[in-house]
Amino acid sequence: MANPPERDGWDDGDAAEYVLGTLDATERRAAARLAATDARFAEAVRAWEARLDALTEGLTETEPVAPPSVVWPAIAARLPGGALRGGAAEGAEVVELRRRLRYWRGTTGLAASLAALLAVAVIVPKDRWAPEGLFPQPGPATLRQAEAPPAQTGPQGTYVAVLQPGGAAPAFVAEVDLAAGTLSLRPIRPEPAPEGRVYEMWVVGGGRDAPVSLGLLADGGELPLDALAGPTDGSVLAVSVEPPGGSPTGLPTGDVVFTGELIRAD
Amino acid sequence: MASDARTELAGLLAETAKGDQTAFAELYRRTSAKLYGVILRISRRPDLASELLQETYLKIWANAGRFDADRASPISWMAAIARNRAIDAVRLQAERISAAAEELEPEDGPGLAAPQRGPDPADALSLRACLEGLKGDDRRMVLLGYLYGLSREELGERFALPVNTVKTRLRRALAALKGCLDGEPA
Repeated sequence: MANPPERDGWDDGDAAEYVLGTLDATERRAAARLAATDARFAEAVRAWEARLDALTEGLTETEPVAPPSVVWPAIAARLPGGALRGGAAEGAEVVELRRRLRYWRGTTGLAASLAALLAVAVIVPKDRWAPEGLFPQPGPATLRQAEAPPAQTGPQGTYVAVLQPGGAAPAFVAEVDLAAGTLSLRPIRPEPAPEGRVYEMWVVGGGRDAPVSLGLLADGGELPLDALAGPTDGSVLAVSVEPPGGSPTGLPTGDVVFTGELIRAD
Repeated sequence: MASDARTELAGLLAETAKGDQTAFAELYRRTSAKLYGVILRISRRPDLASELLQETYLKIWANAGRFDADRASPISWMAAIARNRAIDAVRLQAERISAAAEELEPEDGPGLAAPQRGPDPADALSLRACLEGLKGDDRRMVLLGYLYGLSREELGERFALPVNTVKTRLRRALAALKGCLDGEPA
């Protein structure tokens, strides 16, 4: 071998293959442990990372693939102060949401390329909704289900979703009362759907095989919240741009302009 | 200009290191498709890849302060994190869909950055030269391992070689590469 075994039971080839990525599972675990505990091995690993670094640049020349739009909200939720903190105390949630909304409103002067705008959907029982405190934005609800189905032993509880697209998009606060079956949206930064198009809201994931339409946002139609009667945890709200009347196929056909995962907040 | 983009990404990473989530969101917007491509190529599992991308960016968030613009380009630093995470996942989680990397044209000597875009042009040039000094199959094994995350077993299948032979040849190739890059006889 070009590199004789070294004192500590490893040789430079182990470090090289660790960086190359060809070690099998057992060896890779052992190498990771070694890199954390053995300064000389760690140094050998760093040296190999430096040698092969030009290849890493080549990695990025692989064809880019747009990731699913649910990924960013999931990341944002796990950042410090992320609003999607399942199980967090409600008080903290409210403070965080208020802080974030103020923050995002404050960034409206930034270039469009920085406008990773925030849309927040709050699913909260009506009696706990405090519009004057939490979201003092003026403007009436643009959408409210006229005839709420009678409350039954259906889903209850507070859910929060942060809908955060990768690019510029309108942002809404959605107030959803699971018990009463109503959903209302209030625009934070209203921006109409593209000419001749409408917004349609979907719920996806949570064990559903396919997106389920919750209705159109732009025409004041009802949102059939019984579609949300399925699993809530793990579900994602998504808004797509569709032709007038909504998606002709029953599935989103246009760009999904924002999404956000529903996380239990109480 | 590539160098402008690089400067901007480095700036976003620096802001991210200070906890600026707006900068981090912009960093994600600009780089996630590249990193997702890297992860997808290595993991070959779209379901897994979303989760890996998420973990990659959380790691970038946590480690942004360690990025050193003098030592690496922002995108290659981030890609290395993505690649590491993906290789961990495919190596440590057994049931990988082992589609061979047929899309790789082995004769291309693929994946080497154009010299002016590398972290250090001299590094990319010398790595290219040193790789070209390897035997054809040895070079392909190194590139398939690094760029596609193939294991020794998968390399063995691809090259119709026993795993132990793959290991021997990989080690020989890496030792030769080291000797070439470090300017010492292997």
